[in-house]
Amino acid sequence: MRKLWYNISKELLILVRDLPGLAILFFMPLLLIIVVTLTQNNAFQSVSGANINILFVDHDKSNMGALIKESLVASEEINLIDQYNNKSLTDSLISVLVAEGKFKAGVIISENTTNEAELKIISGLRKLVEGEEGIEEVVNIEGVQLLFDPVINGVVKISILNAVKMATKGAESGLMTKVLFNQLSEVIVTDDSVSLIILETLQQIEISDIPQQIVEVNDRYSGDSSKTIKPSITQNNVPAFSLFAMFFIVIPLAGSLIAEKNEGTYDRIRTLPVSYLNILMGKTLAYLLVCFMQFMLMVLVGIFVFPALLGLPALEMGDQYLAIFIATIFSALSAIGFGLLVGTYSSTHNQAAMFGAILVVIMAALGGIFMPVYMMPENLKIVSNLSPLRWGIDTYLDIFVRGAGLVYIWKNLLLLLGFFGVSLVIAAKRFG
Amino acid sequence: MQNNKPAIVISNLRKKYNGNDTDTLKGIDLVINQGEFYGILGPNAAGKTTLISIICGLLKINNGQVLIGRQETQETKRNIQAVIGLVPQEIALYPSLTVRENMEYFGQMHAIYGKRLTERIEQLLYQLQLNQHADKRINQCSGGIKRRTNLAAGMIHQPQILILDEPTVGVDAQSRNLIFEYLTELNQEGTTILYTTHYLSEAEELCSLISIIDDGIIVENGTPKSLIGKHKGCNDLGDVFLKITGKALRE
Ligand SMILES: Nc1ncnc2c1ncn2[C@@H]1O[C@H](COP(=O)(O)OP(=O)(O)OP(=O)(O)O)[C@@H](O)[C@H]1O
Ligand SMILES: [Mg+2]
Repeated sequence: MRKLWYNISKELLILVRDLPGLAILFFMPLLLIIVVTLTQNNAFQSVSGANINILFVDHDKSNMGALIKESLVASEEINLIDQYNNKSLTDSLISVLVAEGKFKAGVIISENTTNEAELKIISGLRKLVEGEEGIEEVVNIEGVQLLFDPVINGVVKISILNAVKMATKGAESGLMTKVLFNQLSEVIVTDDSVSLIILETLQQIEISDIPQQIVEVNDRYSGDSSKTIKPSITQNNVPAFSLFAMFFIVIPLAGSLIAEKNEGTYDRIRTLPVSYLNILMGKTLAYLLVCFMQFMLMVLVGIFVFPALLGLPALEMGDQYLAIFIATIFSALSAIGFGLLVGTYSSTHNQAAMFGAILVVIMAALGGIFMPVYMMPENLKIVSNLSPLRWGIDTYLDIFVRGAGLVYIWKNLLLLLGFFGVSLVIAAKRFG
Repeated sequence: MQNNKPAIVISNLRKKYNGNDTDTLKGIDLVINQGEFYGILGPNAAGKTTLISIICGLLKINNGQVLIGRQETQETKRNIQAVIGLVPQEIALYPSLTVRENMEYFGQMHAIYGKRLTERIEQLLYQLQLNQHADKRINQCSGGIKRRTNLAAGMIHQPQILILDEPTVGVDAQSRNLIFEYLTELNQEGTTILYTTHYLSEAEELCSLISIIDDGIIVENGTPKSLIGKHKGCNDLGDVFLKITGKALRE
């Protein structure tokens, strides 16, 4: 134990002696999250070619429901799902599935949507034709409910919202045509051709004069509304990019292993009565401290600098402090494990820096840091399960955006810890 | 201080590096008694560092046996670590740590702590005249200081057997003399020393026994005097070496 302590001190001393290196380690990640968040906050690229699964349940069981469904099915970006595990969907099941991120969005067409929309149209029509106040306004149309996963990319969210709004508008038009036709046929039952002419005329008016929106589209984030965390770009980016930055520890850590190999201290160490595992644990704990401080710094920037200086939403910590702490430690350990592996298998600093850095970027991409995993092709989704960054990012997003606690994230935590354990054993075996 | 108890016994040692076609060590037999100042003399690539690494348990062997005292180096690495001190050919120190910090760290790894460690470091700093440089970082030290610190780090735990791999490369005459005096004193106090070099004068001046190694084989053994005497017409070790190996040793 005492030797471990001195191994940690040695590593920390070496780190502190390289002040520029340490500054880079702490400040480059900050630059990264600031720039990325600022650019993403303003970017509205179109999301084309993406195929997003959306849950769909139709309680209306009438024209509106059918028309909206038809139009969403026709949309290229969206796949409608109306069953889960061979069971038909309920509102509460949709709410849970979306809140947990199993699906990115859910559409619920409320009961009587068609009936009430018809009433609304007729009332509007009366107003128009007879110039009177007509029947009182229909209230309490729940209309189309659109639920979103709190962890949704802003661009994707907007494109889904637009698609559902378009589909609803289209369905309204269709319904309106039908209502008009029915109303007319009550008046003029005799001649179809005449009624058609009138119908066409009326349709011209309808577009501009009948209330713009008959059926409302209500969108909200799915989940427990008592939890206070509001999804935002900050809430998504700060944890994800903190993790990304954490993995860059691979470069100094691998560097310290390689330096020992190349400078001959490694051979000297092997003549000492101390196990190599002890040396590696010394490195692990020293760099763990660095990772943790790095993370704290990112969090502080998210809380204070983002809103104050950059006009971005502030980071909210929620109340899952223990989960955040453990997730950070375990993520840092897996980053360190990765560093040990790279350091073990590279023979020069350049190799380690290039190999390590590029692999971190690849793992981050697979982890969904640049493009959300649910938008990836199926094969890539499977591969992404192998990326420790994916485990870490999922864990952080679960905590920071969904407000999840340890019960929900333990599987990913085990993967992170397991990865560290395996890396440590490989490094110790290979060296020892 | 020599006695006839063996400190290091090597028999029929063969070593081939992975990827090489031929053996680097081709059957080495060597006995080094306790208290000896033993020189291994050989040109570049003779296999000196390889031999030393094997004695210290850093490399696996292909054939033969290496004993430290009665311990098999390949199996009981732990037990010999306390007995042996290695001063590697390379400067094996942390460049960003100071002379003192390096000594402290290696001492701590030998489970020497606290006052005992401080005293031992002060002693070594004094003996190797490193006092003035104790708080300089290694990467700011001259070659001679690095060499002496390298030496100090290898013997912080007062090993019974000190193994030095060309410890005087790149040091000036003054530093070299300092190291020689120190090693001689150490040897007189009972430490067994194994010393490799390709400098003839060093071997002649320091060592009680010499083995000449060339191309992985020990080609000649004996005291410096006996070696010169044995080979008629040779005036010094250089002549002996040339005669045996057909190569001139760089001096
Ligand atoms: N890790 C290795 N892999 C393959 N070959 C090696 C390795 N280390 C040393 N050798 C080879 O073994 C031979 C002996 O090397 P060694 O370092 O033992 O020589 P040396 O006597 O110490 O030389 P020098 O005086 O230059 O230090 C050389 O030909 C060298 O190329
Ligand atoms: Mg050598």
